[in-house]
Amino acid sequence: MEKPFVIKDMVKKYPGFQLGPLNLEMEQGTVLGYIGRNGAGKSTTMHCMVGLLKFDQGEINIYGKPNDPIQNEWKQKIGYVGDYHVFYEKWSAEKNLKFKSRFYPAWSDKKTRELIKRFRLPVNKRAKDLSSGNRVKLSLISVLAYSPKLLILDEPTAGLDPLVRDEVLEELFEVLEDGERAIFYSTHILSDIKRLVDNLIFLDEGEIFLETSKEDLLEKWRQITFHLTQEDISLEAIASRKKKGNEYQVISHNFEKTLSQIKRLGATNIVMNRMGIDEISVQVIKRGKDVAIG
Amino acid sequence: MWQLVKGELNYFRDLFGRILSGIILAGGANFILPKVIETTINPSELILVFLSLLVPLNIVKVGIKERRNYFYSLLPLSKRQIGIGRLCVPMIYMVGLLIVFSLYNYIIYKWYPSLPAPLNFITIFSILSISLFFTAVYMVLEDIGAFLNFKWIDGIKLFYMIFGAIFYFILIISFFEKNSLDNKNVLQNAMGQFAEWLSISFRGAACCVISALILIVINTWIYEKRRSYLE
Repeated sequence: MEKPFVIKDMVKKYPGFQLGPLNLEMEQGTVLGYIGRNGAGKSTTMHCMVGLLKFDQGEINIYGKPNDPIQNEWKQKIGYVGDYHVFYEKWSAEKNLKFKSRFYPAWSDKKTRELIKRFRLPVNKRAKDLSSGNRVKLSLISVLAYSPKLLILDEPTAGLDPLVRDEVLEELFEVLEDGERAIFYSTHILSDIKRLVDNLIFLDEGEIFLETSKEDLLEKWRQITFHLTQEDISLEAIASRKKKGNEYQVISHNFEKTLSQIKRLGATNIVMNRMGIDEISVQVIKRGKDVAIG
Repeated sequence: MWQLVKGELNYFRDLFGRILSGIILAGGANFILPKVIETTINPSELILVFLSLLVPLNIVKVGIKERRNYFYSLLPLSKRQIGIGRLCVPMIYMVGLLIVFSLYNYIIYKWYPSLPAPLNFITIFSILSISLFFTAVYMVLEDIGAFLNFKWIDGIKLFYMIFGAIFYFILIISFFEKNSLDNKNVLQNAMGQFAEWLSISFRGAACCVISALILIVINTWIYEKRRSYLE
């Protein structure tokens, strides 16, 4: 099966910032989370993928075809909801959807109606009069209505209230049900990752420093508390540590390594707790490249 | 691509109303103005100048405000189709203006031959051709800026808009006064002669339109080469 996208050695240069060289790909039927601080290069990557920005080097293939600006077939296969929502502002939401429907043979009016109802979008309002949350909803509906094979979502739940965010995530789960679709998802709302993603890519200053599965992270990361009398110890595979007297509380990104070391050092009262993927992600973003090794 | 053109035409259909109001105003002004003030200027000509600028400026203004390049780029169209499609609406309006204004002048002067000198087809064609050329240069500047990532381009565009507009108006005024060139300074004389060449010869206006069309074709190519479609 063709991969939803393959990015090879892609570079995008700005004065004082370089994204890449990036090498990225994903599997059909999965959700790939793209995580990083503001300005790490997440949106730039997505802009390059959908043709909003031209990159300086490398190549991007969407379902085996280059994202060539002269060709347009590849665009039928992707749906992009970005950081900015553009419409014909003087038209109603309904008219905007009608306009977009003409470009997509796979557009479903039935699905559109269902989504409008589900997201409670006031379709008769003009786009310029919609609240920011409703603009996000309109963007999402205009993409989900033609069931693209690859959804590229750049912080799609930003600006939505928790209830609607839940509904959006629910809808995205349904998108994945047939196993023939893929979602490339960038977010800073880490609770979204917990529910949705299979694999994660962490980006910092334009470089990927960690590429892993959610299971792998959940398996390796632990919060460990223990008692140790020894002073000035250097612990392995540690993302953070707190010390109060002889009581230690550490976060390990490879708990087996840390555990065997503290056992060797004679630690007692060892308690290990699993961590949520959102807590782990915060640590990974904070520590950057240090936790990518090991 | 035709879906895009149809959508754009539909979106800018309020321009039809403005053009219609302008033409009605031109009709009224032709009857009223000569009775109020003594002038050699044909009111229809002034209104046509205004309308010919209103169409492209309105489309450009909305395009910037609503980030039209971002919007177009997300549609399943190639950049070439977008480049051509986005130009169709101003072109259709310009051609529409040419036809409607020519018909209007033909009809009104057939019925009221006593009105001030009628606008002939070449004058209408000339005014529209200069507007088209003026807009085409602006679009080329805009796309070259996005192609080369050239930081001075905003300043150049502003310079062009200010001095281009002044040049455009001097040229148009020279149209009105082309019969009294003797007492003008060198610049006005040259502008007057240029205006005369444009306005009394079909060849002059045609040159202007062809230049604009060449610029538009080049611009479509430059549009494909832009480095960013985010704005």
